[in-house]
This record gives sequence, C-alpha cells and structure tokens, in this order.
Amino acid sequence: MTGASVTLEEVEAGYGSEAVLKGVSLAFPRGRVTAVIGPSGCGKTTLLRVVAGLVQPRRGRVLFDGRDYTRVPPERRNVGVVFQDLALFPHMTVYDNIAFPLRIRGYSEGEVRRRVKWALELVGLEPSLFAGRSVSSLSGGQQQRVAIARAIVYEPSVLLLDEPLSHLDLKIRQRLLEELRRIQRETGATMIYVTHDQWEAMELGDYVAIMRDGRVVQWGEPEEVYDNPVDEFVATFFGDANLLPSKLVGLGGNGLVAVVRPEDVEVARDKPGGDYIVFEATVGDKVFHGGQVKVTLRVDGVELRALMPRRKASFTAGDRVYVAISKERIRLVRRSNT
Amino acid sequence: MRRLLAIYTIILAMLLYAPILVMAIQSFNKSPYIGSWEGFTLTWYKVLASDEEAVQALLNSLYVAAASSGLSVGMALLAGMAVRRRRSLTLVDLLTYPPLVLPEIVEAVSLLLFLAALGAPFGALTVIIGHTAFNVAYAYIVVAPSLKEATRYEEAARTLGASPLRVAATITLRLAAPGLVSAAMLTLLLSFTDFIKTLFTTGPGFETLPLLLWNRARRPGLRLESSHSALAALATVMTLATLLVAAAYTMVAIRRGASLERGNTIQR
Amino acid sequence: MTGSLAALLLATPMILFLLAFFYAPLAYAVAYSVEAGGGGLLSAYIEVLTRPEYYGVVAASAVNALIAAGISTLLAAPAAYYATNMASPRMRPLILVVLVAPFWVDVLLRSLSLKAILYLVDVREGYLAMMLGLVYEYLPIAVITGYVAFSGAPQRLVEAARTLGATPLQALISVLLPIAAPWLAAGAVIIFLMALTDYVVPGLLGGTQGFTVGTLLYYLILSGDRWDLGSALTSLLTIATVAGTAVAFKRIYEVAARA
Repeated sequence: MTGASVTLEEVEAGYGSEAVLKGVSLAFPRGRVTAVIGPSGCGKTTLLRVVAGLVQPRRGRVLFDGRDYTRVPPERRNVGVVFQDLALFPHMTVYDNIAFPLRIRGYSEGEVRRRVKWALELVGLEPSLFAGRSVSSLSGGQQQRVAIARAIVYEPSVLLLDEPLSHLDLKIRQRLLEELRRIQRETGATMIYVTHDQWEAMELGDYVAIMRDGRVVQWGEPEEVYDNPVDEFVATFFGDANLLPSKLVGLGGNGLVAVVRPEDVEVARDKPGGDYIVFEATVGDKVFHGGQVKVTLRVDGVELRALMPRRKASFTAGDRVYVAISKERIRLVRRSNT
Repeated sequence: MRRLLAIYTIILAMLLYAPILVMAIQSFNKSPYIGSWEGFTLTWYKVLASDEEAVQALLNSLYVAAASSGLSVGMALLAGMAVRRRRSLTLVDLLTYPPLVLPEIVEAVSLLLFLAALGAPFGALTVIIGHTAFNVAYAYIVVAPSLKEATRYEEAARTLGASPLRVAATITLRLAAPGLVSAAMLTLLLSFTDFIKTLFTTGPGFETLPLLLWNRARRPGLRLESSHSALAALATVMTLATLLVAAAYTMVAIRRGASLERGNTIQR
Repeated sequence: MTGSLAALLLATPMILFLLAFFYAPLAYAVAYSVEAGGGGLLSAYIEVLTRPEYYGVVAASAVNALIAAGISTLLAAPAAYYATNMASPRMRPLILVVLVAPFWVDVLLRSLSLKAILYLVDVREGYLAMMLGLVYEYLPIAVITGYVAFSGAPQRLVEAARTLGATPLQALISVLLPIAAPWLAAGAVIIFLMALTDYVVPGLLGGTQGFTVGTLLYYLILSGDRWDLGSALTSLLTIATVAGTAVAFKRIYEVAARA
C-alpha cells in the first residue's frame, strides 16, 4: 500500500455560525506521521473530520495527491479513521467489525478471513481468541486495538487517529504508541494523529503541527519545533519552558520574551565561567521524576524550573546556588496573549 | 439527506398540529357548522363561560386531578425514599411496571368488576382511586430515579457534618425537587385528560370534562352547546391548557435528563 | 438493619394501594371470568373464542392495530432519526417536544380535531378515518420510541461506517437499522396493544365500522351486561399484554445484558 499526500489549502470550517477552522493551510507528506496537537477546542478534531470528509469546509480545498477531494464523500476517500470514542459497531462481533469495510468493498469471504486475521495479528490480538467476541466484552485497550485493526484492514492510503489513546492508562498507551509506529511503518500509510498530549506527539510524529484557536501556528519536525518555537504559546505548550524576565537576563521586551528549557538551566554551588548568564538563586521544591529531578529555583520573586539528572541534584531546599544559562540555549520568541 | 429529513420532520410536525389548528379556527367561526366560514366571533367562548354543566365538569376534573396527583406523588415519594439506596431492581420497581404497560381498558374493566363486587359507591371517590392506580406508577418511575441520583450526594453531605434529617431535607429532597415537579405535572395531565378509566369508574351525576366532551361529540348539534363550533371552543381551551403543561413538563424532563447526563460525564 | 427495615415501611402505602386497586382487581377479573359463564368453568372463554361475532372483532381489530402500529412507527422513524442524530444539538430537545407534545392532548380532543379536518377534505366516519385516527393518535409515541431507538445508534457510528467505505444507504442498512430495530419493534408492540384496545378513536371516527376490542369490551360491560364475556376478554388481553411485552423487551434485555 502506498500512502497519499494530503494538503489543506486555506480551509475554513465550522458548525452553524461558529468558525472552528479559520484558514488552515497544511501539508501532510506521503507515508509520514504528522501529529496535530493543540489545547482542547483549538479545532484539531474538526481538521481531522475535514480530511475524512465528514465536515464540508466552507472555503478552501482539500487535496489528495494533488487532486481536489473537497467534495468527495468519505466512503470514496480511502481513509481509515480511529475515532476518539472508537465507534465500534455494538451489534457486531470483533470479526464482523473488522470485516465490515472489506465486505463493503466486495472482497470474497476467503479474502476477508485472511485479511481480518492479518489485521488482528498486526494489532497484537490472537485471532482465534478474539474474532468471535462481542466488542462490549473487551477491555478498553483491546477495543482500541480492534478499532485500529478495522481502520487499517483495507489498507487505506491515509490513516486518521483522533486522540485514540487518551482514555487508556499509561502502560497500555506506551505499548500501543509503539505498535502504531510499527504498523505505520509496515503499511506505509500517511498518518495524521490528533492529540493534546505533547509527549505522544513528540514520540510518534515525523512532523508536528501545533494548532491554536482554529489556526496552525507552527509546523515542522518535533526537534526543530522544540528548539525553535515561534512564540511563547508554542514554547510553553510543546514542552516545558521558563520565561525569563528581561531584568534578569537583559534580553527580551518589545513584544519579545526570552525562554529557556528546564534542562538547559544549570545549577552549581560554585560560580561557573564561560559564556553563561549567571545569577544567584534559592532552591525551592525538588520533585522526583524517576531518573531526573525537577528543581524549583527562586530569584527576585521569579520561579525557574531546572531539570537535571538525579546525581547532580545534591542540594536541598533553602540552599543558595548559582544558576547558569548558556546564551546559546536562550530563544527570543513573540509574546502570546494567553 | 440532512435537508430532506429536516423537511420531512417539518411536514410531520405540521400534520400533527393541523387538526388542532383547524379546531382552534373553527371555534371562532360564526357558523355553528364546520366547513362554512361566516366570519369571526367570540360567541362560542361566551357560550362556554355561561355553560354551567361544562364549568361543573371542569371543577370535577380539576378536583379529581389534584387529588389523584397529590396521592400519587405522595405515595411515590415515600416509596422512592424507601428504596433509593438499592442498586438493583426491587420488588417495588417490579410492582410499578405492569400498570404502565397494561391497556387502560383492561385495568378499567377489572376495577369496575372488583369495585362492583365490593359494593363501592361509584362517583368521585372511585374515579380518584382509578386514576391513582396508574398515576402512582407513573409518579414512581419519575420520582424514584431522581431520588436515587440525589443519594449520590448524601454521603458527601454526611461527611461534611450534616445530620441524616438535614441531609434528607437540604440535599435529597432539594435535588429531587425537579423530579417531584415533573411527577406532579405528569400525573395532573394524565388524570385531567383521562377518559377510559373515568368512563368505567364514575357513577351517576359525576361527569369530568372528557366525559362531557365525549357525550356531546357523540350527539353533535342537538343543542347550542354541542354544535361543532361550541365543541371546538371547549376543545381549544382544553388543548391549550394541556399543551402548556405538557411543554413545561417535557422541558423540565429534558433539562433534568441533560443535567444528569452532564453529571455522569463529569463523574466518568 | 432495623433502620433500613423502617425505611422500607415507607413503601407500604404505595405497595398496598397497588395491590388493592391494581393487582386485586386483575386477579378478581380472572377468577370471576373462570366461573362466570353460564355453562360451567371457562365457558365464557369458550364462547368468546368460538363465536365469530366476538373472535371476528378481535381478529379484525388486531389486523387494524398491527397496520396502525406499523405505519406510525415507519412514519415517525425518519423524524426521530433527524431529531436524535442530524439536527443541531440545541434543536434536538425542541424538535422532540414539538413532535411529542400533541400526545398529551386528550385523545378525545385530537380525534375530534382530526374529525373536523377530515370533514373538510370530505373524509367521513368509516374505516379510513379510523385508521388515520389511530396513526395520528400514536404517532407521538412512535416518535418517542424512535428517539430512544436512534439514540442508541448515534451518528458517530454512521460516520464511522462512511469512512470505512459505506455509502449512506449501506450505512443505514448495515449499521443504523440493526441497532435501532429491537427498539422500534418494542415500540410497535406497545402501540399495537394500545390501538387494539382503543375505544375513543373507533367510537368517534369509525362510524359503523369502528369496532375494536375496546368497543367490544364497552358494549359487553357497560351496555350489554355480559360481564362474564367481558371479564374473559379482559383476562385474555392481560395475558396477551404480558406475553407481547415480554417478547418485545426480551431482545432489548439481551442486548442490554451483553453491553
């Protein structure tokens, strides 16, 4: 199967008088994973529904491999959708759910059987155990897998996932995320993954598109976006960021604000040399994060967060320490009205 | 598809209301007969207002409805309080379902045979008993869920230091109040518009509004009060009254349903 | 434990009332019917079931009720679907209220109104008027059951089917109807039972053809003084109702139990 590239051109969409997408232009490259991420209500689900053909844009175009698909109904787009609430058919067994798109396409029963088995194995469900079960008898994670199997069994060229893992617990989430990655590689589908979880987006996306209030504010590879956020919103939403007051670092102002990632905030007992901005601070809370420790630092009524390996965090609350931030690691970004 | 269904729904609604509308228009017709429009008049409403028989029937109907509704909601509230903490179906629940599904005429005939065997005096009292026999079941299925729902907050109130009596008064009953109001409206409506049960359980001289309407409609045109237009005036007044109560009831019920749904979503 | 026992006492007024004025009369009617006939035990039943003027009415009435239940369910279904799944969320309750409110208006009033409008289009009392009356009367109930039915088959599932390749028609046939069908059928059974025993509509609109089980009962009990036959017929209806609703809701219970 080969994926299709999907392009949105100046898409505006909404429900009733309410505009949800306010002019979105975005390209989803063929065979790659794009994570669409944003706070709730930013329009990311609507964007996905526009690609699926479930919402007609008021303006703009939707292109699949360069062809105008704006008016093509969902059943002729060859997309696979995993809905947020899964939308498994309650009156069908696991087998019939997954066979549904194949039967609609007129596959022979032998072929249906072969493919359903393939899809179940791909999502890690043993066919002989699960095929005959009713969907309501499955656990959340199993239902999730069935929904994914149903969406990939006919090898759609575009796979759309709407926060599919949001109501699963961390461990299953981690496993399914890895499997989604593997499935995408094996099938070669273009994947659009909508989420509000920045970690999911970073882990899964070849690209991320960050949305806010009906618009895409930044698009790029995750590392690039992480390292060079365009504004304060992206900096604080995609990863954690400290906002540095201009009086402290002598940067920013004029609609710009200096930001630095917590892992780039270094803490030392002795004053370090080099090309650093250095100031004194008091250690506040220390929060244990497994292998790492998040330390709160207070300076002039401002709080900064620093993330460091556990073995380096040998100080305790109340200690006076030096904070050092490499000038290279500071980014000046546009202030956002939050 | 969507537009087609919208148009269909609108047409269906229009068909549902067209007869009622025609009836309302007829009540302002100078001619006593349907089919010939002779101009606008309020005569038939004046006839109605000075129609002592109709006024008496209205009073009877209101009396029966108020008594049956009060009895029903009262008994349903007590029963609902009794079982509000039970998760599974109780005997009380099971007892209330058959009155909801059994055809009314079956109930009515059985009650008539039974009351006759007991030698009961047929009249207002037997009508009230007859209405309450189905009303109490309707009241219960409306009241009991709202009490059950309110119970969810009782434990929280107890941990916050309220005594059981105070909890019942300020939390349980307060939260169940919309359910009680719906139940009262529903039972008032059911009783006020009931015909079959009343027909079989009333005695000589006790006539409710539906019975009066039936008797006149079966023999139209014999008197001024039973002419098409006079009947239309009476029907219009009754329809308007019931539609108002019904709309209010449905709105309360839906809002309650919606807020319950919201509550559940939040809990999940 | 005594506390909860005392609490249960609160339920006694309702229980006693239902036992005295709902269950006891039903039991009495059955007992009465068994021995009331002139020719010994169950003779009333034998007469009702063998004399064509009785079972004929029951059969004809059943056919009419079935037609009315079917037509009103079919007519209401598209509107119920629109109200549950297609209209904007804010409009949904409003549409339901508008379609259901007429149900609360007394059957008498609505039959009378319908009679008036039918008079205008020159449809007089008779079979057609009665059938129209039955459909008109039970349409709001069909809307309610349709609303319940289609709430269980949300638009999301149709959308899912569409993205999986189904045309709107295929989605309707393979997803929507199978999920909604048990509820629609249960609604039709309820309407059937109500139409079967309707008294008002045939009385006002049926003219000389307006005979149902309801009218038959009225004549047997209130004018004909054949209480033996009336009670037998009543008892048969009770059994039919219990059986009918049990069958109708069995499927739903099964579905609910699976979920």
